[in-house]
Amino acid sequence: MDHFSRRRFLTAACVGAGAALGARIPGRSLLGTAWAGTPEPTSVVCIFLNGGINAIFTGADAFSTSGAFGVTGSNTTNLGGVVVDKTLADAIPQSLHPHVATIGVRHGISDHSVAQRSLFVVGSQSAPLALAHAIGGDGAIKAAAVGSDALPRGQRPAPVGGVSLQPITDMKATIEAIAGAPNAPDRADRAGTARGIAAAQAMSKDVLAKHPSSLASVDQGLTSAIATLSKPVQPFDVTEFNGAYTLKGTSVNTFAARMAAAELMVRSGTNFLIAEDGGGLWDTHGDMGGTSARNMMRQRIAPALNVFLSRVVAANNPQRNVIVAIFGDFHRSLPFSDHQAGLAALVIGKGIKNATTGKTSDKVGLPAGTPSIPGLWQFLAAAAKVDANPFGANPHAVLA
Amino acid sequence: MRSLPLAIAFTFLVTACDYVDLDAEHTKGTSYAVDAGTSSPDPTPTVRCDEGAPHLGFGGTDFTAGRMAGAIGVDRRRVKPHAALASEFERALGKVPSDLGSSAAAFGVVPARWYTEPTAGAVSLYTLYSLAFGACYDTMTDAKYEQMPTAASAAAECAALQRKIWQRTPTPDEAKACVDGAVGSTDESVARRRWAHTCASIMTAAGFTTY
Repeated sequence: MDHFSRRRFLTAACVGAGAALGARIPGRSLLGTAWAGTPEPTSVVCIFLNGGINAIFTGADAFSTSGAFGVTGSNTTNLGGVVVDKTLADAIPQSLHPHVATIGVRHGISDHSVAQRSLFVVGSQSAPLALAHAIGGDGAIKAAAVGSDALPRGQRPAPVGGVSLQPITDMKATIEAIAGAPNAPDRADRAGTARGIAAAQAMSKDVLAKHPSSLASVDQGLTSAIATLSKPVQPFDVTEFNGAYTLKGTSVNTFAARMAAAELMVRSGTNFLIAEDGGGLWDTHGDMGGTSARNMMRQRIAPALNVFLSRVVAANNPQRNVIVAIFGDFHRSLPFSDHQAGLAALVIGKGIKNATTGKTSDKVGLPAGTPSIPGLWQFLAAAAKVDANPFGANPHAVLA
Repeated sequence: MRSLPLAIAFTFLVTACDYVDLDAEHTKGTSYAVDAGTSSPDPTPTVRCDEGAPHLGFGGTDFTAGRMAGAIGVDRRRVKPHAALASEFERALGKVPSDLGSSAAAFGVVPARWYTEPTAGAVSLYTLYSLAFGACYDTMTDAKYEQMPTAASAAAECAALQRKIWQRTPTPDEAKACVDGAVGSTDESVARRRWAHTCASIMTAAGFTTY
């Protein structure tokens, strides 16, 4: 009998991508379920630049006169009212240029730890999980961190409405879990595994009840695993997928792998994803000319972002509404690229209008009255077209 | 003279606190799983140290005022790290899956020179189940595994496997859950695979994946 090997895995066109894919593509529904929270399959993908985001990526025209952060007439691109650095603009497919906006977030925070914790909380609950819950749908894993087991600053939020944050750290294992593995006598079959993990959960009930906090991830993981394995499978071409993102291994430990994992999860029906980059590399103190930020955008982010946007978000994609939000702790301040107590998020999606509420002054300041953190999530929920916005009315209505 | 400090220290330790072994199930081999959350048959209140002694600062603020008192034995267990699984597989099954090393990423990406507390997720638990199934299947070569599980044989085998893999005696509910899983998966036509699924489910339960 055949035995599974990595080579075989990488070269075979295996079955896969999850039931939710089929269930969420109009005209190809396997289950025929109505879309609960949004009018079409919807995913929000946050790309978080750990350390901060330079305003040249959200409104470079603010510096066109002063030349701050090295802005010149030749290194920016006008995407139709939103002017961003060319390194980022080149990663955005032409068809999406009319669907780029920037969202101002005047949070008044200039401390990394506070900013990273605050950006993902609205009220007393996790904003990403509340959003994932509001989007609804039938994806087995509704919220995931790709390449990590937590939100920035190691936050492991409590579930919201039964939606937990699942870590995606290995492509091979994730594809197997979603798409199934080759058969062999000594390999577990999909249906048997689903039943076996259900039995494991039943056997774990007493222990998990006694350790509800320290073993929360076990309880949530068992539930998500059973849900994932209970979905039927769809054809999935692994070779094509790995080639598109030039993956060299199965570990989700590069930005390219994170974007690949994000595509996989979007296709399997995940509502919210976060891909964090840098581990503090974006804390670009002293980067007065913006060189460091440009180099990182060009080398670390742009190639995989372009692949992801082209394959998953492109405006001619009628199958799903995918919204990408790129932001960091805060903007970098002038003159020494330190900490500015506010930021703008660059948002891309087919339903996004080409405008900005996040254009800064030439001193990187946002206008008074610019909404704070809840406004970002109110906007993202509105862009996702949820039935009921869990964060309140969208103050950036001009954008979505 | 040298023994005097030791005697004083010993006396202090004995009188200061009656220590309670909260993980008694691992060391005393009792038939009760203290950690499993079942009601204890011993009505004697647990003896414990005084807790929460105030620590007043210069401003008269009690530094411990914001601390929440937790129940004894609650939220103590943690997820086993991937690094511990090789020796744990060896102990439980006598075999380490060949793919265990290459599957490390499924259990989390830990930056070099950093420690992060392990967590579980759908993918890591799926991976663990898959690895466990293969190891269980390979080691279940005894003739008894050529017979489909019955209620009686499953009860006996579940009890033995759970005791060995979890290093404690299962509670009645845990034993029943195992038996139900073993005899319930009737669409698996190969007896040895049925048993391997049962074994893998025990290996994926919190009794093995946490400590």
